[in-house]
Amino acid sequence: MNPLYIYGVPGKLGGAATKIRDLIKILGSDYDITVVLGHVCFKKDPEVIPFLRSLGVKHCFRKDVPKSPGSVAVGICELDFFSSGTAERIKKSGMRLLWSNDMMWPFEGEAEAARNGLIDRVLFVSEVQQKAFGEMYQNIDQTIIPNYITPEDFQFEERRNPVFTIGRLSRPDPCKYPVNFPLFYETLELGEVRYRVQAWSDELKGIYRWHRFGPEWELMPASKIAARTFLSSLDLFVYPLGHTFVESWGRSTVEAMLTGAIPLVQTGHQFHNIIQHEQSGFICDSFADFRYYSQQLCNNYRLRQQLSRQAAAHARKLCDRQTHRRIWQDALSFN
Amino acid sequence: MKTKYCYWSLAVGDEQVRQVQQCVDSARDAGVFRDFHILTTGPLKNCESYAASSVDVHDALKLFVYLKAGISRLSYDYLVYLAPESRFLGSPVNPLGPLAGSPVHAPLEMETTNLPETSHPFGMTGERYQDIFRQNGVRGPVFVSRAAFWIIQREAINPLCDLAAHFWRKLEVAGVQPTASLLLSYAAQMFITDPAPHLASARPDLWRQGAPEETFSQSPDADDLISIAGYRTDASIVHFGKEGFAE
Repeated sequence: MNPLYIYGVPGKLGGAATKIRDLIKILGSDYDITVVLGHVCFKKDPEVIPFLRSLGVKHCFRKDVPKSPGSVAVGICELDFFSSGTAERIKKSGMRLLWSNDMMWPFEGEAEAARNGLIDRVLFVSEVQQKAFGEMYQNIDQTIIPNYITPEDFQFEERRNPVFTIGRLSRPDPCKYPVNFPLFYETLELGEVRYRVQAWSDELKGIYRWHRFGPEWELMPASKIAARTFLSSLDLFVYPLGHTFVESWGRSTVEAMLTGAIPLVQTGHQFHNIIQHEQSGFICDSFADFRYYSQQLCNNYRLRQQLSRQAAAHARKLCDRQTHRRIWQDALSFN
Repeated sequence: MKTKYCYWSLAVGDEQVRQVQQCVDSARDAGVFRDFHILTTGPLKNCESYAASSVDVHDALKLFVYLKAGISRLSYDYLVYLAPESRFLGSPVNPLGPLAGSPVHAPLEMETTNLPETSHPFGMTGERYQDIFRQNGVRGPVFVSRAAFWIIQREAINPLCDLAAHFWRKLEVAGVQPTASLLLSYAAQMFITDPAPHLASARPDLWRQGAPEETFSQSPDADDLISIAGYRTDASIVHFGKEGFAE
């Protein structure tokens, strides 16, 4: 098997970290994978090393990577990948370097690395992300690889909530929340309803201190509940975003769909690639659309049940293991 | 617990000081004895006044700078801004009502799609106005409004001012002359989910913009209105300022 060095952290929190976990699972039988960790702190992480051991995947730290000319290294969403000199060292050792940023903004040193030819191929998760980096990577080989999520990790569950429940799952990044977030949920006017949010933080609490959160709200810190359990508790995944934020893919939306939570998202971003409007979720132009569709679903269990099943089925199509395996094999090949 | 609110304004220069004094006097004449806090460059009576020291920022941002640095220190739950050219024709009933749960209220005067073709809000076509608001995150219908009468919950002052500053930068990039009305209109609409309770037409008893040729002295006083209709029909607060969005 060809060696493959993945620079990144296969954690359980955040789109990039969970992406690496799933990537290792689909490529584990095709490549001799070594996960390269950036910091020794991950040695003690209760998730990372045990996960790698359970799959029999090797790991090392950046300074311990052996010289392996011709082999392939993939950097995935490592904040200091360029500023620490890691990318340069990889190139100097004769390896092929693929880079996947996964965000909508460049990391420190990324533009310079692109100019200096350190990156052999850049991987984007969507056209939206590719467009955002169009100028920076205009002369570099590039390909789009949508994210893969292991469907078995987000099993479908029929909803039987005694109280209609809406919510969202994301990093507690204030940019991901609209300025009117709590008002947005409450003015959907869904009657008796439960609002569940993960992850919430002290920073968000400070930003929304103008709002009096009633007992219908459950605001939970990161990782309070496992993502699958949390998403399975939602009837609707209602996901308005902040006005300065662009979602490069929408991992938590697809995870929600896999469990059967019906997504209601806003236009723009790249949700049209993962949701068929009115078939596997709803893409809303305005708050009025969010309200209309959420009320329809709230008041009609049969419709909700149907949409829930369709959302889960569609997400499973998006996450076809063999398709993603082939796409990755092509991306990692330089022949 | 009773919600506390006060009125506030900013008067820079002799003309605005004269206007804001008339605004306060009209309130007292109409039986409004709520607190008024005025940042001013001249002496005022019947209100709390503070020296409006000069700040080195763009004119459009001054209102927000004074709000954040000064007015936010007052211990009220809500702060009701009145432009100096505002006059009280009566005592407002439930002036915080239009908030409808939102931390901000600005009367939304007209939807851009309903503007006459000849109308150019803030020097732009209605279409351009709508595009700029949409590009910066306002979803659904876009409205024109002005910074003549608006309400802010004290705890939402920071995000409101952040939004105003954000939009100011975007307008500069777009080559549009920023005004306080544009910034306020944007910030308010970013907070508002359902525009219905915020429409100026939803509370005709509370506030209205005076007609271009209309003056305070021409407005019928309370006695006239009661004798004509048997009950009060006009808005309690009227803005006689010349700043219009439809010129």
